[in-house]
Amino acid sequence: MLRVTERYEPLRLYAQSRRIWTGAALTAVLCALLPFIGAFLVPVPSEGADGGVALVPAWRILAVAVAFGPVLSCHSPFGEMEAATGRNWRRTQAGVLTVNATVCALLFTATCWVLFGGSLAVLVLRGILGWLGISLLAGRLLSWKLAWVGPLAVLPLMIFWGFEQSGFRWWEFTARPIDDLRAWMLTTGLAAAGVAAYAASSWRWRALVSLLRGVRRPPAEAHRDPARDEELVPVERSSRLEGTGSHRRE
Amino acid sequence: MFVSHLKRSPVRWFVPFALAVSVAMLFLRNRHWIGVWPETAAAAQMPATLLSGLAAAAAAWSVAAPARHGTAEQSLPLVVPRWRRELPGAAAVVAYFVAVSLLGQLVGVVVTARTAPPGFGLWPGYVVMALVVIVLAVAFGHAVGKVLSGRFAAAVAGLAWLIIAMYLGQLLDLSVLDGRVYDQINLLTITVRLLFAVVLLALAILLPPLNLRVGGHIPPGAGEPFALRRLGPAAVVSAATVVLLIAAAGLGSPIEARPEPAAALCQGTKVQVCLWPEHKKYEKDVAEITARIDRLPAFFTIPPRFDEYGLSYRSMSTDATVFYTDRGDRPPYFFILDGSIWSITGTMATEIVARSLTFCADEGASKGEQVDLRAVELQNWLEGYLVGGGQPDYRTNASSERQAAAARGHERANQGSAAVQFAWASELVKGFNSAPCH
Repeated sequence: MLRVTERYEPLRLYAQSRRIWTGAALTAVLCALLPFIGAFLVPVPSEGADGGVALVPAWRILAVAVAFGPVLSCHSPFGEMEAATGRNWRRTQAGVLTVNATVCALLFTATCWVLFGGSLAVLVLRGILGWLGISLLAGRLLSWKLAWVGPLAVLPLMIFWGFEQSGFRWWEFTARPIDDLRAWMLTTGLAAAGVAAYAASSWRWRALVSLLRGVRRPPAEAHRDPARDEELVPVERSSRLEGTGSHRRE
Repeated sequence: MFVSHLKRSPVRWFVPFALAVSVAMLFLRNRHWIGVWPETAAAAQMPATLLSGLAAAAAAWSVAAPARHGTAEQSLPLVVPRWRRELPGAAAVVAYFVAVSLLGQLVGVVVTARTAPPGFGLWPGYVVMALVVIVLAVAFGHAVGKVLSGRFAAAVAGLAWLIIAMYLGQLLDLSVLDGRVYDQINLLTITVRLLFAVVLLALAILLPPLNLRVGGHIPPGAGEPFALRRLGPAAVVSAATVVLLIAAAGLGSPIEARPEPAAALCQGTKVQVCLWPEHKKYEKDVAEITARIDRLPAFFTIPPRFDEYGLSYRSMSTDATVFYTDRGDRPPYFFILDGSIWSITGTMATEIVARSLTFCADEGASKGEQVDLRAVELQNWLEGYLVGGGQPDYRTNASSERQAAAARGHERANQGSAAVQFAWASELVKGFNSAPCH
C-alpha cells in the first residue's frame, strides 16, 4: 500500500504506484531462456525464400520483447490526471524509461554476446534499438499500454517480406549485415522518431500546432511557456493525444 | 452481450490493418495461385498464421479488461458465472479474426473464379485450417491472460504464440505455405481439429484466473498475487488440455495425398504430357511444349509420357495414404514449382538427354570434364528450347564451370532458327557419343 510521506519523493511514488520493473523481469526471463531456445531456427513463411520457408533464429524474435517492455512502463495507472502533476513526474517517467530500456537492452545484448559472440550481439543491439523506436511510436499513437501493438504488427511484415533470394531487404534492420550503412541509418531514424514521439507530449504538440497556425497568445499569458508550465495544461484538451482514458476505450 | 462486445472490442480498429495485410500477402508475392483452387485457398489461409499473434494478444487483452478497468472486485458478487462473462469477449476476438480471414478468402475466390477452373472442392479444407489457427491463438491468449496480468499478458501472449504457431505450423501441419495440387486437406481430420481447438478455448475460459488481479480478490500491491487453492482446478484444466493436445496430434496430419484423378489433362501426339485437372491454366503452355517436342529431330529419344508429380507416382511418404512407393517403370514426372514453366521443361530436358546420349557403362568411368560439360550445355539448350527461349527464372548452386555451360546452352536456345539449333545439337550428340570412356 502507498505510504503517505512528508517528503516529496517523485521516484518513490512513481515506483510504488506501478510495476516499473516488469520489463526488466521479462528480459531476465528471456535471457534465461536464450541458452536453450536462442539459436533455435523458427521456420517462418516468407515471400522471397525458396519453398516459401525462411529460417529465423529465435533471438531475432525474442529481441522484440526486450524493446516493448520498458515502453510499457510509461503507462500511468492514474490516466491523464498524472500528466498534469508537473515537471518532476515527467522527469521521473523519462528517467525510468531510459534506465529500463538501457538495462534491458544491455542485459539481453550481453547474454547474446556470451552465447553467440560479439558480432551477433551488435546485430541484436541494433534490432532492439529499432524495435524500441517502433514501440515508442506505437505507444505515443495508441497510448503507452498498447506500445506492444506496433512491434507485433510490424514483425509479421518483416518476416514475410524481409527476405529475398539475394539476402535480406535493405529495411530488414534486424538481420542485415553488421556493416550495412542503410540498416544503421534506418535503425537510428526509427530510434530518433521514437524519442521524438516520446518528447511530443500533448502540451508540446499543442504549442507546435498553435505556432504553425500563427496563433499568438494573449499578452497576459505571454510570459508563460506551455512547454515549461505543464501544470496549467487543461486535461481534457490533451486526452486525445495521450489516449490514456482507459475506461472509455474498449 | 456478444454484440456489445463486438461493438466495443478494440480489435475493430485492427480490422482495416489486418485486411490490408491479408490482401497484400495475396498479391505482393508470387501470383501463381491465381486460377488454381487449392493454391488460392492456401495463399488466402496463410495471413491467418502471421496475424494470429495479434489474435492471441487481443484475447489476453480482452480477458484482462476487468483488471485494467479496476472492476474485477465489483464483478465478484455477480450471479452470472465467470465463463458467461468471459465467453462473449473471446468470441468477439474470434469473430473479428475469422471475418478477416474469410474476407481474404473471398478476395482470392473472386480472383480465381474469373477463370472458372475445376477443383473447387479442394478449397474448404484450407479455410477450416485458418480457423483452427485463429481459435487456437485465442485459446492460448485467453489462458495467458489469466496467468499473467494486464498489459504484459497481451504482449507476451502475442509474441509467444507467433513463435509457437510458426514452429507447430511446420511440425504439426497447423498451416501450409502453398496448396500443392497433389495434396488435399482431409475434411474430417481438419474439422475434428477445429472441434479440439474450440474445446481448448472452452478450457481456457473455464480456467480459474491464477492471477488475482485478474480474478479480482486483492487490490494491487497487497499480498501475494497467486492463489494456491486455485491450482487444483487449474491443474485439472491443464491436464485436460494436454490430453486433448496429444489426442489431436494422434489424429495425424490433415494433409494427405490425393487419389488419382478420374481423368488427367493429357495432350500431345509424339509424347503425352499429363497435368492435374486443377492445373488447367497451364494447358496452353504445355500444348506449346508438346508441339516443340514433336518437332525434335529423331536422334532424341523421347519417353512416351510425362506426368505431373502425384498423378502416377509420389515418392514422399509423409502419411499413410501414399499410394505408390515403388517407382517401377512409371513415366517420368515433373513439378510446376511456383508456377514456373522452366521447372516442367527442366525435368523433360534431363530425361530426354539422359535417354539420347550414350554414357559410359562401366562404374567410375567418364568421358572427361569437358565432354560432360557439353552434355550440360545440351541439356540446358533443350530446356530453353522447350520453353521457347528466354532466360531461366531459377538459380542453381552448381559449380561455376557448369553454370557457364548452362548459360551457353540457354543462350544457344535464343540464337538462330530451330533448324540451326537442331544442326548444332546433332553435332554435339555425335561428338559426345563418339568420345571415348576412360
